[in-house]
Amino acid sequence: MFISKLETRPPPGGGLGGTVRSASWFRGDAALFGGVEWQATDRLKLTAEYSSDAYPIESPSAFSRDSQLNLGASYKLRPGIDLSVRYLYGTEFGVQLTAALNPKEPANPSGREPAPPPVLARASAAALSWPASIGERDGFRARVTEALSEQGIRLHGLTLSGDSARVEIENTAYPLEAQAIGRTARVLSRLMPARIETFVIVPITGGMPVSQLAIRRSDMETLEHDLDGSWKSFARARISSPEGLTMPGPERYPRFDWRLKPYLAPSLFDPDNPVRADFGAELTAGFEPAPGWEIAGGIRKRLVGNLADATRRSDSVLPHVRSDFNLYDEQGDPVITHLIAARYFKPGRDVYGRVTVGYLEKMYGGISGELLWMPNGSPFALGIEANYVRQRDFDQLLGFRSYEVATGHVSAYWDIGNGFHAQLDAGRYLAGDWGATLTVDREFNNGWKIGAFATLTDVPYSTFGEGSFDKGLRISIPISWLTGEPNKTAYSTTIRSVLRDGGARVDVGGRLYERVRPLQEPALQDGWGKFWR
Amino acid sequence: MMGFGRISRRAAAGAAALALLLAGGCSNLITTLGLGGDVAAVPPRLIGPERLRVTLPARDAQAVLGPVSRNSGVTVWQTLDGISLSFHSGVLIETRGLGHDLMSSDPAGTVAMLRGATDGGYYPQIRTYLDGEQRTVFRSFQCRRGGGSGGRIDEICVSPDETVTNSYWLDAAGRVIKSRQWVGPTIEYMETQQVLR
Repeated sequence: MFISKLETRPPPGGGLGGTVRSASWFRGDAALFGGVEWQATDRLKLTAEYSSDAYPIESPSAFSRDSQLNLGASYKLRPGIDLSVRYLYGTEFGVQLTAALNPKEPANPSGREPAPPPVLARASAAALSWPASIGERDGFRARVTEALSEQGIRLHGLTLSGDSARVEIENTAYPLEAQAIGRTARVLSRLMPARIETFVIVPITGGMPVSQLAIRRSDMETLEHDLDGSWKSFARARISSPEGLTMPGPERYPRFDWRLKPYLAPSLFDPDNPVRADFGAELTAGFEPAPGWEIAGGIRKRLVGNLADATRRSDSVLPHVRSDFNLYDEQGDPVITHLIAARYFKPGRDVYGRVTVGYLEKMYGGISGELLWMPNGSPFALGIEANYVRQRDFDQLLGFRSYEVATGHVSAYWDIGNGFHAQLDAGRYLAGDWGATLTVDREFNNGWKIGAFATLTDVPYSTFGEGSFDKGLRISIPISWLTGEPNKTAYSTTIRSVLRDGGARVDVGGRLYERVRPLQEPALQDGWGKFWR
Repeated sequence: MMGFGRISRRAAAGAAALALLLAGGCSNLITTLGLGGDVAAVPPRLIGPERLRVTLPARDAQAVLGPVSRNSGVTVWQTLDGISLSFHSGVLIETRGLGHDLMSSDPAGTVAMLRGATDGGYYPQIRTYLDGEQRTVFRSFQCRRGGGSGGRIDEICVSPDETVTNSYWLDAAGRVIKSRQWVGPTIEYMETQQVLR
């Protein structure tokens, strides 16, 4: 060797992981290794490799190394799907099938949802044959409600004044809000009295009006079949932040909803069994007595699964705020997933608020309050959240354990552009530790989200334990991307190599940023390609 | 009326399911799990007695459509299960519900050519589609009148990616009664024929 201090590598082991061990770089014995790769045909690739690693620790306990030569072949069955075989160390044979997904290439780029209702021009024969007063006869509101409901849109409120119709809608189907707005405007063109010239469409979430889009009826009539109708209609729509309260129709509240669905709860990376899962039935119900009020709950009953088989117990020296998850899995069946009463409100034009009380999540119950300042069209938003929570019993029914804590965060959100979104949360975490979380997501316009997060708190690495600090990946795949059908559900998961007690947050539902952002600029513009779809 | 949507929808669902190695033909499962669509097809509200028979050879699908709207010279035709096609003077300008829809196009050059109003030179044709992120993408073609006989007029359109040939059969009054038109890269060609009732 050229430099004597590079000759010995520090011994492996020790440490908790989660840190960069640069002291091991370029240290220890050196030898020649290498390989060749031959693209034999467009689909077939052959590889050969000479390996100089003697695997003194792994051979023969993990595998025997009889040869220094490794051979492999890979065949592209079709774009994105590869079959490969390999022969390693003279003893091991492997087969691998790889299927790659590209979020930018769904099977149905424009979706498979039914065609929207055609615009009905006021000058058309069909419209002229109506009696002049058809718009406001008995049952007018019911017909608007039904026509919107056929399109997966819930009418929240409808008021006519002068030549404009103000229509509050709740989009229950479309991942991109612009499509719900386009379909609403089409429906209105078919049903509104001829004197109505402006449609003011107000998307609503949690009883809060988020945006207000003024769309001219004559633009709907002339741009329906225009080559550049998408951009022209966006440019002519006036988007603003609504002032004041909603004006709900008499039939909107109260509303009760329930659903019985299967659930799948996986658990990864337990050293005893790296893949575990539970499968069962989940009953959820929601009640909305008045605008902004939501009362909701859910229960789960396991049918099959092995999450309860995990026997590893937490060795954490922090309060066990998350690391007792095995005890929750073991003792909870059936469980109350959540049981909450929430109040959503708008204290100002660009300010949104939430208060949630009850059994907030699997492990915590208490009270959670949040305020979000988010102007329409701004890439920045600021939020503040405060929670006082108590740890729930392992059986996840109505009882509590003795641990209580006040947590809270100040959050800054930034839409960086090009699909990147950053979020910085600073505050107090469940174990009483203080610190900050940085999250960066890449969001695709079709709903895919892939992101990474890391949390550093005042808990020292040695106290945190394995992994040194909390970090992980999160991924969200929209169901509509797979099926092409309109559906706002997404399969979301967070991947952590280990879940411990430092840097843990309450997992309360209905956080404001994700509710408000899809209904505002620039999300509306990003989705406008589906306005006429 | 038959719905070609039913056939083509299943084919597309299969492709999507394969992508994630879900079981094929699992539409019942998808519905049970609440993963299906939240918008059902609304029966077409027909405004006339005419019918249009449409075949998608690449999908092995066929349907009969009825008119549901006429606006600014464009007629929208719809199947029972919610797929619509829009034509301007017999020239296809939009599809809705095929999975990879033709979102809009500019038929002026083709319509003029069919009326014999061009000098045989090239004219532009612009089409828009949605890409995988559901953003509008423009595709530009240069088209010219090709051959054709027995009432048929061919149109050859060239883009940087493909060369397509559209064929139109006209009656004595110059109306398109039958056609074979290119929809887009995955749907490929569509054959239409007017049906008298």
